[in-house]
Amino acid sequence: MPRLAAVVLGVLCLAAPAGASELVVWHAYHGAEAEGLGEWAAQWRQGHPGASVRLVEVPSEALTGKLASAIPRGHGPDVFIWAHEQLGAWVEAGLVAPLPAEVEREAIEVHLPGTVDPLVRDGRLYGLPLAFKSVALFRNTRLVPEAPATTDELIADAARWTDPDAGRFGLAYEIGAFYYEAPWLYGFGGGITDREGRLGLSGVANARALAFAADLQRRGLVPADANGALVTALFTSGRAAMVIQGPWFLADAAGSGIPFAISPLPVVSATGLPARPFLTIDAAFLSSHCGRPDEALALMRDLAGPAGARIRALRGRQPVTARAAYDDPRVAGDPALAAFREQLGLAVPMPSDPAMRALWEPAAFALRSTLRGDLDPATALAQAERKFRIFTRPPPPPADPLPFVFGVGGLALVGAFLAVRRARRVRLGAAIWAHRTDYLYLVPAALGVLALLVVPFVVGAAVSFAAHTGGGEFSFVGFRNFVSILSSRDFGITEPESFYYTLGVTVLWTVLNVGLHLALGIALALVLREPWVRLRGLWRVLLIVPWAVPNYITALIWKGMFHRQLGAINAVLGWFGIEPVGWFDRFSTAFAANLATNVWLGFPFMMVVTLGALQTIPRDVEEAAAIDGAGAWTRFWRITLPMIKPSLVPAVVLGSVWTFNMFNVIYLVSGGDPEGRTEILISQAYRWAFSRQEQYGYAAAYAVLIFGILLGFDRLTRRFTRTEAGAR
Amino acid sequence: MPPPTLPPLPLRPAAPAPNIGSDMATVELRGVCKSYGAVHVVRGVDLAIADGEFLVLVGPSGCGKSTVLRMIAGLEEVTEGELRIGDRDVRGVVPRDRDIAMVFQSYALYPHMTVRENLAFGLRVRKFPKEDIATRVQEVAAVLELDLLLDRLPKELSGGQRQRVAMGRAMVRRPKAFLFDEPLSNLDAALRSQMRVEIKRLHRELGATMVYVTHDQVEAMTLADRIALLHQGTLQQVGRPDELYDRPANTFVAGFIGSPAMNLLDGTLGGDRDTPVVCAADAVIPVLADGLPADLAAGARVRLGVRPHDLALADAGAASPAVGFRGTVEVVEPLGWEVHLHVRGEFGTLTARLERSVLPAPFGAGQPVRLVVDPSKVHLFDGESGRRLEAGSPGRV
Repeated sequence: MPRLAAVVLGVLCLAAPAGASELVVWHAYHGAEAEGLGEWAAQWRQGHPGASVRLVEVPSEALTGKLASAIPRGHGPDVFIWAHEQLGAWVEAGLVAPLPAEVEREAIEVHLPGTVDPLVRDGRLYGLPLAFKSVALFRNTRLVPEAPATTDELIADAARWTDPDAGRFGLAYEIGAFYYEAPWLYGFGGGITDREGRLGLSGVANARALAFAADLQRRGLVPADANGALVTALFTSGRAAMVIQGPWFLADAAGSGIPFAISPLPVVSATGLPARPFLTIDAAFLSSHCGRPDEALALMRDLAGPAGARIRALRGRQPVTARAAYDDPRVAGDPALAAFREQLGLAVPMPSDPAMRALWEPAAFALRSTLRGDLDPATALAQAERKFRIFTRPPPPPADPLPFVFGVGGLALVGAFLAVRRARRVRLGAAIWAHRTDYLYLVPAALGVLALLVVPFVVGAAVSFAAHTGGGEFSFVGFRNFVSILSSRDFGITEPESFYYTLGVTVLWTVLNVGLHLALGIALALVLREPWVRLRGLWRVLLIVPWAVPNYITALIWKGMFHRQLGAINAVLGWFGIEPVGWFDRFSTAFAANLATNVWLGFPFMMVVTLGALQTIPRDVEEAAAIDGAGAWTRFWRITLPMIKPSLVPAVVLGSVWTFNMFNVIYLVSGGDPEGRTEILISQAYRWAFSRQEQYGYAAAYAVLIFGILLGFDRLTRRFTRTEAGAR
Repeated sequence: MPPPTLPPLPLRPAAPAPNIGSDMATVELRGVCKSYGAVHVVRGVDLAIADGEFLVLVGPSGCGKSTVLRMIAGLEEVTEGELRIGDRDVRGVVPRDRDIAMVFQSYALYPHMTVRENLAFGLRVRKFPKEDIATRVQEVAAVLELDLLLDRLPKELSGGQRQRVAMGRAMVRRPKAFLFDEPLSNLDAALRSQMRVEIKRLHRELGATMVYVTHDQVEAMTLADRIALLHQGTLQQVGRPDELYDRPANTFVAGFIGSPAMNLLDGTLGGDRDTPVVCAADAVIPVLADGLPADLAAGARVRLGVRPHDLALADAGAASPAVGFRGTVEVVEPLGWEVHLHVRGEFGTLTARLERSVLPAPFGAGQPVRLVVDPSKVHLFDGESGRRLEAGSPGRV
């Protein structure tokens, strides 16, 4: 025993110093910014012999999730770098530690004005600023030599270069993204907070700002439905005279060889107020579970301070926040950094209130329905505000878990009793013992199923009876999530957020998809079987390709093809003199776009299944039917189809389940547009979990309902096919 | 049980029946060829099948007999030549409009339909009234003794029962012509001979034209009004079974028809004009002088054909000991009433089929024997072309 203790102690001693001497920093930088960070770390290591820093690059989409799960368990970083907008949630969840008061005083002196305040929450500083990021106006200086000072000048400059027929636009930005609408909101005197600092959307000024954006698009000055990739492509190919972009665009702009300059966004002519973009501050935060906060703080100060800032500015081309960095003539002489610094003075820090995350979706819906002209701006904003209030409503009051525990316990007891009785009747124990080697072989698979399917399912089902109260805390609410969903309390039944509306769309989506998959798959399989088809092997391979390509890639390709101005589909329609269709402007066309994508993805599966099933049909049965007098259609309908049905039914069930939960296509092609009307249940659940105040319990209840529906569907088809087989 | 006869039914199709030409169910092939690319499966077949005739297409596997049948059915297109059913050229006419029925080797029953539905299918797709269909199915079921099986699925039937359903499915429509594609080959021997009788009886009762494909010469001989024998896509001989048996047109027909097969030996014509003989090695076989083509000269190479049962054991002390086949018994196959002897001599080997009672005792392998044949029972074929030689036919081709 003492020997064992010694070994354990030895291992601990070995492990502890290795961990103690190293400070771990998580970041999501890549490219030049990551290089700048690396260079700083190398320098820091030289200056601090004996101490070590390890930089861990975490993918940006995963970083916040990893922080939330790792830090409370003591596995997270000592320091992490991220934009300030999540600060409210982190403070609520207790992931970040406040910094001492003297550090705060120092920070205000060291950094540019306006870059420290966003990091203060409830009167305490939680991070040290590294860089500031906001959008500004990039212009192709060959096309627009002078920066427009007002929106009128901007429009005049843009109009000169605009020629939609040639695919040329005076201005390009992600007009449908609310982030890019914010400058106009503030420029028209509005914003997203009221005087008390509460988030909100409605207001006359905001309505005017939305109308302004809609006007830009209506005049054709700005391409509709542009995403970041399109904006980049338009500018770097010289087809957009100006773009609204942030520092992340610098590398692309410089790489294109197009002469460009950056200037602050113009003053809104109607109000005389500057257009003010959102400001985000990249900052270094101290983990609340950091073992050596003093050392970590020293590291943060070095990184954020003048020395670190100079490296990050020169090597990483970051718009750094430390004033001293700008004393370096090379930093001060960088026109891009100067322009962003100028814009900084006019930018509005993005609210770090956790509720902000629930604002994006309704705000984007309001913006897009205005751009499409479906709603007038004021109505759209009022609707968005209403939805925002619903999304940010307080979680339901906790329920008394006692009756529930009794209920579940009782059910479990009855279940256990029945299971034991059955096991005894069939002598399960003896059977297992007799085949113990066989069962032993099953153990790894069983453990896998348990860990990967059963446990997540049980946890998910359990979460559906709880409400997420923020910061990873849950409270038990009984059936309240289900009641709220099924009674559609917050939404009218025809509103896209209502369960029944979404269920209707999902059922329509599934039925049409599976029907078309079947029709197309069977038709192609029948054609491929015909003796006159040449190069059959080649066709078969080509037709399976859509299935072989990962579906999110296909979805993104189709999304591009459906683009209003630059998509292939409208281009083809144009050859026949058909006006470009705004595919995602109306439910019918957006649904059709999703449908087309998923039919493309799904028919090969049915084709392969049908081809296999057709192999099992003797040709002479069909010949007998032909001689009996059956035409081609009757032969198919009365002979071929019934004979391949046994193979098709499981494929249809499987295809239905896949389609019912086909998240990727919905999320990537229509993204729920217009106004979430093309969402299906699974994507709606995703929205509740990840873009509406982390209502995990509510989302889990959706998932449980989806599971119930699919289980019922499976039982139904089984019974249906069994009775049919029984009738024979 | 005396078989019930099938009364003529007043069938009234709800929709006008498709144009099926006259009621004469003759089938006529003129120079019909079938090829798949460079592969020629059927080469210029001329065949006229009379109304109500039972014609059997026979030949070894791969001879093209099934392809001929499938062309008549409309399941294969005719590459070249003319095909008429009744007075109508049916090239390009789909199977359903040819008014024919076909029984497949595999039966090709619809596995998801009951016997009743299988039988009714042809009438249902032709939109006959429901009551007529029901009556018709009942009657056919009664004839074929399927009454008790009507609600079963094909998989619940025995091979013989399935065969009967396949027949019933053909009969229920009363087509102009029935086509059978080796319908009995999946049955055991006893069932096969029973079904042979059934088919023969049906033909007599229905009086329909039937074209029957088989590789089994027993079926061909027993069922056929006429047999058409195919070899490598070419018609070898068409005629009544006894014609093919008694006067085979060539060595292929001679070897194919008859069991055990005809003995065929190479020889030369010898003797003189009035007492011709064929010499095969040391065997000297007298043949009939008036059975020979006039221009066939002595010394001509011929093939000599003798049916096993036309051979007889010569008495040891009989006259003209030089005549006949001398050899040694290799194998004795006793078959009850009869015995097959396999005899080897300088001429080659022969099979003789003899009554057991004529054999001297003891008799066994190794025994020297002399076999003789009546000159009128000797078949002669051209040594090169294999064609039958007889008076009136040219001696050399």
